[in-house]
Amino acid sequence: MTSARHNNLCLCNTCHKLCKKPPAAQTKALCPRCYSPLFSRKPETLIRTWALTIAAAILFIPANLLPITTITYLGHSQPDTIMSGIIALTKAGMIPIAIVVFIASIAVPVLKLLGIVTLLLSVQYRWSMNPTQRTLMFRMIEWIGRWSMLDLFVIAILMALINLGNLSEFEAGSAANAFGLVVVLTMFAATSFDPRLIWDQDVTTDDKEPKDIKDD
Amino acid sequence: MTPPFLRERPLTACHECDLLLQPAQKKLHQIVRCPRCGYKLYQHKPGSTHNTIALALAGVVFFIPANTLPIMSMELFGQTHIDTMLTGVTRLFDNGHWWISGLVLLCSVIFPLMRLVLALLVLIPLQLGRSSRAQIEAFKLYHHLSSWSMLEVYMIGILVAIIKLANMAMISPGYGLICFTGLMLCTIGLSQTLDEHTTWDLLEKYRHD
Ligand SMILES: [Zn+2]
Repeated sequence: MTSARHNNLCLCNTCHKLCKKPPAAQTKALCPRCYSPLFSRKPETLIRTWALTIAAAILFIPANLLPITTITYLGHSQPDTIMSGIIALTKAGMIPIAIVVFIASIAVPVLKLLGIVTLLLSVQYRWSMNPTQRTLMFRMIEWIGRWSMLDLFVIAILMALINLGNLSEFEAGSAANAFGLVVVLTMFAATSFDPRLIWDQDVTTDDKEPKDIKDD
Repeated sequence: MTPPFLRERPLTACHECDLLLQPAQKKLHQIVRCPRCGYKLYQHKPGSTHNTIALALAGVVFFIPANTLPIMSMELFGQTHIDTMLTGVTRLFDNGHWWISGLVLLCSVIFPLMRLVLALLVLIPLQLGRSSRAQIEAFKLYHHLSSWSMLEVYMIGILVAIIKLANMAMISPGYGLICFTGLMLCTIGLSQTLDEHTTWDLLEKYRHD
C-alpha cells in the first residue's frame, strides 16, 4: 500500500483536494482550491496535542475538587462538586440521570484524556498496536468530546429556572469554569492530532499501485 | 519523479490514513470507504444542494422563536420562572461566569445560527452557478464550526433538567421547545444532506476569477 506522502502528494486537510506536496523549504503553501495552508501532516501535531492534553488533565483536577454548583434552599446553601452531585442524584433515586451525568462529566473526559495519551505514546514509541483499532479510538474521541458540554448546559437551564433569591437559588460554582476549559481543550487536542501518523509506521512499500476503492 | 500511474487518471487519498486511491465511479446513494482504515471517503447524496437549502431556510425560520419563546416554565413557591435559550446565559453572565456564559452562548445559539446562514450563503449562489472567494471562505468556516454546534447535546440537557426538577416543582414545556426541536432537527439534517465533496467540486468548477 502506498501513501500520498510517498508519492509527493498531499491531501488538503480542509477541502480534501489532492495536491502536489509543497517543498520542505516553502512553509506557506496554500491549497489551490480553498486557500488553506497545505501540509502533508499537521505541523507540530505531537507537541501541540501533548500541550493541550496536559493542560486539560491539570484543569480536570480543580474541575472535580471545587464546587460546580451551589443550591440554596430556604437560606441554606449546599455546594456540590461533580461527584457529590452525582451521589446526591443516586440517593434521590434518580439513577438514570446520575448515570448520564457520570458518563458526560467524568467517564467521557477521563477516557478522552487516556485515549489521546495512548495515541500519542503509541505513535511516539512505535507501539505495535493494531492501527485499525487506534483509528477507531481516534474517531470515538473526536465524536464523543462535545457530549461533555451536557453538564454546563444543564447548569445554564437550571440557573434560569431556579432563581428565587434566598428562598431557592441555583448557582454555578468555580469548577464550572475549569470544566468548560477541559471540554474545549480536549476538543482542540482531538483536532490537533493527525490520525495519519498512526498509519505512517505501517507503510509497507512493496505494493506500488494505488488500491481500488471498495464499494459499500 | 511522478510514477506513471499518477498521469493516467485522477487520484484521491484517504483523509485519515493517507492511502492513495483510485476514485471509484460515483453511484447513487453509494458510500465509499477507505479499504485500509474504513474512513467514509465519500457518500453520494442526490439533490444535496436543494435539500440543504430547504433545511437551512427552515432552520432560520425556527431560530427566532426557538431563542425567544420559553423552552419551559417552572412554578415554585407560587412564582413562575421561564427558561428561554438566553435566560440561562444572561444569568451566568450576571453572576460573573462570563467564560461559561460565552461558551454556552456560542455552542447553543451563535454557532448553530452561523452554520445555517453560512450554508445558505454558500449554496444559494452555487445553485445559480456562481462561485467566489467569499463563498469558499464561508464554506471553510462552516466546515470548521461543525463540531462546535451542539444543539442535540442541549436537547439532552433539557431532558436532564426536566427529570431533575420533576419531583420538586411543576414543569410545563413551552412553545419554544417545539421550535427548538425543529431547529435542532434542521441543524442535524444539514450535516446529513450536505455533500461536502460535491460542494467543493462545484465551488472549484464555477470559479472564473
Ligand atoms: Zn483545500
